[in-house]
Amino acid sequence: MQVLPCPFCGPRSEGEFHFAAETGKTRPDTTRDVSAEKWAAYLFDQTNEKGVTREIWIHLPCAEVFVMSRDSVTMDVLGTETLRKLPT
Amino acid sequence: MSGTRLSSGGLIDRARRIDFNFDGRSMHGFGGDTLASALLANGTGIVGRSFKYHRPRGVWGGWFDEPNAIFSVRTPKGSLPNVLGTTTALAPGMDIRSVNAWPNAGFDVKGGLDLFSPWLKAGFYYKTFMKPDWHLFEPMIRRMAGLGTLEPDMVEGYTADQVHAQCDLLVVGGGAAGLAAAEAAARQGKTVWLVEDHDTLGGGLYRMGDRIEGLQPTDWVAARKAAIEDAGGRILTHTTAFGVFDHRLYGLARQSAVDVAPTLYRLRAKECLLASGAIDRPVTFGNNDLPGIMSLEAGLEYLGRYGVRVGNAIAIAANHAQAASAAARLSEAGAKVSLFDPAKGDLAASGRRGVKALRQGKRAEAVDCVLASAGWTPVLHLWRHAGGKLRWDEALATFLPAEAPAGMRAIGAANGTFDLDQALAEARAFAMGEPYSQATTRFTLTPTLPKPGAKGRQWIDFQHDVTLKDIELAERENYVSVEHLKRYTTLSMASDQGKTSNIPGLAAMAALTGKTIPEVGTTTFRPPFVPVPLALYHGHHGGQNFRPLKRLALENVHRSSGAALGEYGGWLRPAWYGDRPGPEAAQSEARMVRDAGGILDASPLGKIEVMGPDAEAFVNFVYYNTMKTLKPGFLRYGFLLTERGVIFDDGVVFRMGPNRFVISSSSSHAEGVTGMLESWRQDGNDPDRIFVHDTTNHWSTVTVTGPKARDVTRSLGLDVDLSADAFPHMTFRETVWRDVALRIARVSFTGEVSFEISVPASSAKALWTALADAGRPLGVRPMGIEALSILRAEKGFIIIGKDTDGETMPHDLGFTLPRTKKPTTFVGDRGLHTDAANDPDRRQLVGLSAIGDTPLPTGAHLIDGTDRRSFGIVTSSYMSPNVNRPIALGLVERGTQRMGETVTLFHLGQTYQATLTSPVAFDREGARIHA
Amino acid sequence: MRDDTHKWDAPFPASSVLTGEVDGKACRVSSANMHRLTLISGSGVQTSSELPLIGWPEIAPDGPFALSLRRDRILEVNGPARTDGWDELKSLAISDMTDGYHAFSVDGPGALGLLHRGADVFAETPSASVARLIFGLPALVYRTGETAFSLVFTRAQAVAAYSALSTALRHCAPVRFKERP
Ligand SMILES: [Zn+2]
Repeated sequence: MQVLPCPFCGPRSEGEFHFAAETGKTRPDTTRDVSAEKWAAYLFDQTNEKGVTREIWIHLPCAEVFVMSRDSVTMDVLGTETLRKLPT
Repeated sequence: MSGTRLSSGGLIDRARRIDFNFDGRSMHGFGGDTLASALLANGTGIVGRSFKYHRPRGVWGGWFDEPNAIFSVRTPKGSLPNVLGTTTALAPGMDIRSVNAWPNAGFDVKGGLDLFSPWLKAGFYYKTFMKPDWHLFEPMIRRMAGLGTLEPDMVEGYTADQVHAQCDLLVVGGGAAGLAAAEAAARQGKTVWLVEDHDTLGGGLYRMGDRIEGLQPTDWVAARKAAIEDAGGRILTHTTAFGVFDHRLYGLARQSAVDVAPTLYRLRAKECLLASGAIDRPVTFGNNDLPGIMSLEAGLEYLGRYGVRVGNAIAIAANHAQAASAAARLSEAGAKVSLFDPAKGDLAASGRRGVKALRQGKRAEAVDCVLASAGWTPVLHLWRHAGGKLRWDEALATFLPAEAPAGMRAIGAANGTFDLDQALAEARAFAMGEPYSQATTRFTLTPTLPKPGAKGRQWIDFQHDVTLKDIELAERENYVSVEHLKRYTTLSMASDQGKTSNIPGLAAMAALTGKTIPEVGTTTFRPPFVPVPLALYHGHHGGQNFRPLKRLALENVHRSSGAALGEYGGWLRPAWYGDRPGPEAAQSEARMVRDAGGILDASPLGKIEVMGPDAEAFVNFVYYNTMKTLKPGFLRYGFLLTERGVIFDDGVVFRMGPNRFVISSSSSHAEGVTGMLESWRQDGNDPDRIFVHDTTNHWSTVTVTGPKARDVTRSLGLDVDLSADAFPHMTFRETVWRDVALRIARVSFTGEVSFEISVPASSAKALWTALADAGRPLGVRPMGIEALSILRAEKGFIIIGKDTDGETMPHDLGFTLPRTKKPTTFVGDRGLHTDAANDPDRRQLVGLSAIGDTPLPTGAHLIDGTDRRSFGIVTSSYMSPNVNRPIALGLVERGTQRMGETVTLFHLGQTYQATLTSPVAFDREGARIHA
Repeated sequence: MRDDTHKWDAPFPASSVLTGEVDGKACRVSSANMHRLTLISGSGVQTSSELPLIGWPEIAPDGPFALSLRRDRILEVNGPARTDGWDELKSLAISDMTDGYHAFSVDGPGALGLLHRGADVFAETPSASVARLIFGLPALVYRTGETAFSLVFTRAQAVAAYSALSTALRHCAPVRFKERP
């Protein structure tokens, strides 16, 4: 059981988190033609990096969607970035 | 073999006599005994039969490394299978039975299997029972193999307590090194946990009984214990650290009595010092599995801890420096001791039911016990769990810790520091974070490893009956990879996980293949280090706590109204009412609704608020249907899709105001829909302009449906004009009833006039009672989900996940317009135009009218006559009390073009006939819903 | 089509009290009353609320306070009455949730020990949010005193929470466990 850091809540048990997606995918603009290949890549392509990887995770209790960098071999968490505008 | 209890010595309490039975014979032991020490003290030689050949076996080890002494134990609380005799405390009234032996260990009717041993070699099962079919032989083989059996009187209430904990430092092992380290760290102010799997601290100190730092072992241990606890350290005895998991999580199993489930600690420790000690390696020689042949360490443990001398005439077969001092210790205890050095020539034991003699070349000694040691093997399972590396040490002929895993260091014998003074210095230095460099050890040995090609049978793995010859066979058949060797011979796959057999097995393969042991490599070490009951993992999450259902605010009202409750989409809901068979009740309630009306608890329907300046655009984006044209006071049915275009949920959207919507998701799906909305809100939209509140739990919803629904609802005296003109279908009103907020909507899942009325949950009982009282004289009574299922199927209304699957898109259900006409983007829009989505052979929703009086089985396949290819399935099927014939819904390839076709269906060997029809079986014009 | 009524305990009475010992220390579980709960979301809600904001391990006062749930969400406990919906002026989303939750008080020297049966919640690990999983159920967990805690579950999961708490209490104190209505 890992301890993962939520950018808002701090360290919490792995069971409170869901993996959402790898980073780097942007929804194609569907008001224009989107080729089948491009749409399929958006839906299904995964890089499954061995080693350092950047992923989108959700902390379920506070619903924070954030970016987590981690090492998929050692399971070390390297850092998180919030996707939210921080209060000024 | 003839073990004897000495009149003094050991840690046992001779004043506390404990009576027990072993294989029907009554015996006694003392407080502090294990099952194994008590049996040895009673002179018991044979404690069980081996797994494959049913050879007689005796106690081999002194603790967790024991391969043979596995028992079924019955206590006053019930029976337990597979109890390890060397680590389990003896308790009064225990009835102990050997396993793999019938009628008892001394006289085993299957003992003759050993005569067939030439045929029972490695891979025997694979080679012999493949033809004609393994499954013919499997039941017989499973009966003969295996360990204890489950008895009908299993211990009840065997539920593990589970605790989350954290500390600065975990010390694994309460021997000299562990105690010294824990004391030093605790004095520095660290929060320290020390775990020891014996119920007494001190580890190996009692074997030789030598003074330590000027004190008797018991006094030294007591002083360390007091110092640790004074400094705030926590000591858990009878506790095994059985695994290391991600991010420095340690699994600890704390045992009290054998018939009480252990406590699981999930301990997060910043640092760990591994002081798990070392165990003896067996010497591989002819007939080395005979009862009476034990590890040297075990012989000394039984003497030092339990006051048991394991034999009268003892041969010590050891290749190292400890042999002579051990001989002196055992002689002092009254044994006649002879010394053999296995490095000086091949050994062979003889005897049938126990060892009688040990031979080396021309020398032979008549003995009743052999204590063997080919050196010490550090216990490094946790080290490997944590990702630590190992290195092969030629001089000590064992693996020692190499590169350390993060947050862990090994100390004492676990680190190959076998000299006590050095171990203490190392432990204290590491505990205080100071450097320490290992000094040269005084523990020297002549490496002694298995020699292939020897005559006679030499056992490598006692528990799984793997001999040196089996390893030779595996090598001849090219199973030389260590992972193949393990699986082909089952070496180290028994419940002792190869604690004693691993290194001899690897060494044998290395010798056979001409490789070094590091080149052969080791298999993976995985938790648990010792067997732990599965109950440890599930803890109290059993019974109702296994997968708890959500409960209705009105549950007690339903119970007192005679509801039969059942699970529907994660909620416990009324299936029907009244003490009568369910199918009959459902038919009757479904008829009642069309004749007069019914009252339904619809509280699980989602109430998910979407608010904020971008709420309209957001709801329009997440829905397949256009929602931005929805006006306040109106509702609209729609679909949420995945990006593949597949239907995720259906539901009704309420527009409360310009910046506020309420999404009424399907009943099992409120949390899933909330999660979907939340992720789209934060990913690709401005989360500061959209807010999603799941208020489902705050509200209870009661639906009144049927021709008399209006009359029943009118009894509430709401200030709402309920007439069809003033309050049409798919609109809603907000008002106040008895000082609480009330929302009333005209929306229907039955095809009848319906009023869906929501109030805060604390007012639900008042609302339900008022409606039930008003309904009773009109013949309008509570209805359950089973009747609702029939009514909605009569109308062709679908249930997501039942009448749709992981491929169904809205246009398969006839909802085609937004796919081609919706002008703005929405979730899943591109997914609706893939080649698969455009396939003319897609499965579409149809009705099926069974030919005959029997409803079609749900799940039946529509099949082609020739090759019986499935081209559709029945998704819902009922007897309809309102059209008086069986009705069904299904998903069928090109279903809408096949109306009127007669099809053949297949289910569990039976065939059926049906005609494809419209999904709507009742009130095709839909007049009743608007009444 | 099965009648599973007998498989599930009927909902516990609101007056139920569980008492027992956790690791030798007394612990008591009872239902707590909170007369108004208001869910409020908005990008500045964490700083704009006038009520004391409670995260973990802060101790909630006796009077009204606000629980910090998310970066942009609080739950006002016994605060002022508010109108449901979108507050255009303050840019806040407001929902009455008074009936949406069930709260348990867990107090006594053994209280934290009971919480440790269900979650790795430690005073040494502060958190900006009181929302977490405990016994596998979503909950709001906060302190109301030195050894007193409030566990707030959704109404639909209160029975599951009660069952989890009573089972955990029973198995960490097999002899001294009591359940009385
Ligand atoms: Zn969080």
